[in-house]
Amino acid sequence: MKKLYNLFFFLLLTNLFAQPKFIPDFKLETISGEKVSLYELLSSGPVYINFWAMWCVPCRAELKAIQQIYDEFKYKGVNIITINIDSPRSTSKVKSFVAGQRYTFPVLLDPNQEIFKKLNGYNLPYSLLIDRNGKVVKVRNSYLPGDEKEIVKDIQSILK
Amino acid sequence: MEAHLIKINLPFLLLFIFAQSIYTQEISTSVSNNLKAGSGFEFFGERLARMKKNYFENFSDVRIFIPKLTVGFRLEYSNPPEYGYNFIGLRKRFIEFETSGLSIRAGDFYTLFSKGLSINLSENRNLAFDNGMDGLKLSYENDFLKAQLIGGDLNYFEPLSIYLGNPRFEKYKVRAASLEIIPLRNISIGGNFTWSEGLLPSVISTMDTIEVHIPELFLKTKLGNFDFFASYAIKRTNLGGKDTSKGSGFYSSISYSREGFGITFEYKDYRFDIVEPLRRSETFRPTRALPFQNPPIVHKEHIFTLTQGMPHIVDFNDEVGFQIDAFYSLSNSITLNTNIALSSRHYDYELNQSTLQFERKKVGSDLFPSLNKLRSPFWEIYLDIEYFLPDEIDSYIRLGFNRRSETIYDRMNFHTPIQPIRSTTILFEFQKVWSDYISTKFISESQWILEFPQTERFFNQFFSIAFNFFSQYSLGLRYELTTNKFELENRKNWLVIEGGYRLGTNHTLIINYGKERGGTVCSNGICRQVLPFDGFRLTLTTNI
Repeated sequence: MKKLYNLFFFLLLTNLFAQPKFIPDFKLETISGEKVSLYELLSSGPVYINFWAMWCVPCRAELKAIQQIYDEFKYKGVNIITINIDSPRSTSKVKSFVAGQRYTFPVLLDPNQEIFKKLNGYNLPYSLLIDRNGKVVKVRNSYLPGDEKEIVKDIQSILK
Repeated sequence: MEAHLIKINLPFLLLFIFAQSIYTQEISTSVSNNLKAGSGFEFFGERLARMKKNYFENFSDVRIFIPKLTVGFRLEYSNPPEYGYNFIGLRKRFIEFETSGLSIRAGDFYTLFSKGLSINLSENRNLAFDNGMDGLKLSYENDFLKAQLIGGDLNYFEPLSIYLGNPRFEKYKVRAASLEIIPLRNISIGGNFTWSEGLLPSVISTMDTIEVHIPELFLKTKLGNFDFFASYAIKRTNLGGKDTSKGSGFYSSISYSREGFGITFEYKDYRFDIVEPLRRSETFRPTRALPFQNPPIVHKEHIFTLTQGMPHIVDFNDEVGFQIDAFYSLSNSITLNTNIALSSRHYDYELNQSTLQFERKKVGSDLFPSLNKLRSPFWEIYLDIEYFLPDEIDSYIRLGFNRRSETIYDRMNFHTPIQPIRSTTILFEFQKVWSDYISTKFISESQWILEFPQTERFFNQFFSIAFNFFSQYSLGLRYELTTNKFELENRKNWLVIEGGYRLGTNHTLIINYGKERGGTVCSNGICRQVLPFDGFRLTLTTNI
């Protein structure tokens, strides 16, 4: 047990001094049925990924902000995608929820949370900003009012 | 791969991989850590049964990404846990290889076959629910097909058994396959097959051995603005070498969506193990829908405190019903959501006085839910309207209404078989951003309840107010009161103060102190009883 914790703290220390160098590829379906690959998106520019679920209250507020951010950056070479992690019990409602809210950003489905867990998500909302080299430059594990301004700043900084 | 080989070798393999790659540019790591601690008192039923409650849990999830390879593990320290059983050590570990649509994973994994009628493996730490498997998972996917093969062991801990004083562990060997063919862009058809052998604690002998076969067929189509899904599964259970039970499950959904409007209709007909009233009370009977089956619940999952409080608990063995859920956007700032759900059991039963056996009795069509009390109906209406203040992203008002009725028809209770629960709830939520530095969120929930065996209504009120400063600090309180004369801990009000601090964007600390009411908590049809709690709690979440 002690060895395992030593291993963990070794990894933790390494992380404190080194940002992740790349993110693994994944492919998911959008609510319209198209397949989207992360690496294909990265070939055209940075990617902002937001994980959400319909039962998550702060996520619903953040989605409003993401729509505005998407409108601002969609022609500026930034790919903004959201990934819904509702269980199969709710996925049939996701499309009507998105349509009802007039959201136009891409919504991908991860109904078994495989990608969410692979990218080490724990809380919702969970967001990652990835530069065009596939490097994770920002991780967010919550959303509070006012964060949308920080997200815009983060995106602008990697476009420079 | 054999599980015990992984247990022995994986830590060394991890170290080896890490050492090999640490000086190259080919590796990256990710750590997620969740620490929960609490100290106080829990209440069992009466005020006198006050028990000291201390817990300390730490979960550390590590991912190591190497091109085409992911290695992951979780170290857990739960001693004692908030809910569940003590554990210190390596809880999860896996290694996964991926290339060109092919994925091979050895170790711990979760997965989902279509909508979960036969296989739905997931984890919910708050409910101490984990039906993940340990073994091998092979997946392949291209534009025309998706295939998956899984095999391994599932050691399932039943969360409902925690307060029974005798934790229940069930062991399953599971082998399953899934194939989905996509002949046309908008149509896919497929089938799943699951075989399992289970070893379950029994009330009669020491252990029950069961063998289960679950074949399943499904169909998905998209036509214009319509999406359609249907799935049908049959479950056969052999107990002690005899074909003792045959059940089935059907789920279907159809949705229509266009800009500003979306509506979904879902239908369920779960009859995995329909039994007479006497056997129904045997919650863990070996012929029931098994822990790796988790179909859709087909009713609304609520986000408000009081509407979450008395959830409808789906009986996957015997329930038929439907749900209609619609979103309508009147403008960019006003959205309506409405939900109607109805479900019931399939049949009624009558006691034959001469044979002293229950006999099935048909009440209406068993393909549709019924409002007849003999079939234990549940129905619900929900409506909310959300208004976002002009030119403000985070400022909004939401007003909601919920009316719910559940009737349990208990044939074993000869004096009062009809046991109703009715509730009406008015919801109000308001969030306002005052400046770049301060925002406020206020929630009010008012609820009127009639709950068997009481004959008079009682009233519940919940208030919550939270202030957020500089998008970094938060301070709030939650207050709840009731007029219920039969409240479990004989208390009329509860107050909790909560503070939060966010360090950067990666670390979130939440501390709260006060008296919590407790109650039943459900997520995705999986439920847990939360006991009333007095004391403080701390949660620290980190993602690096």
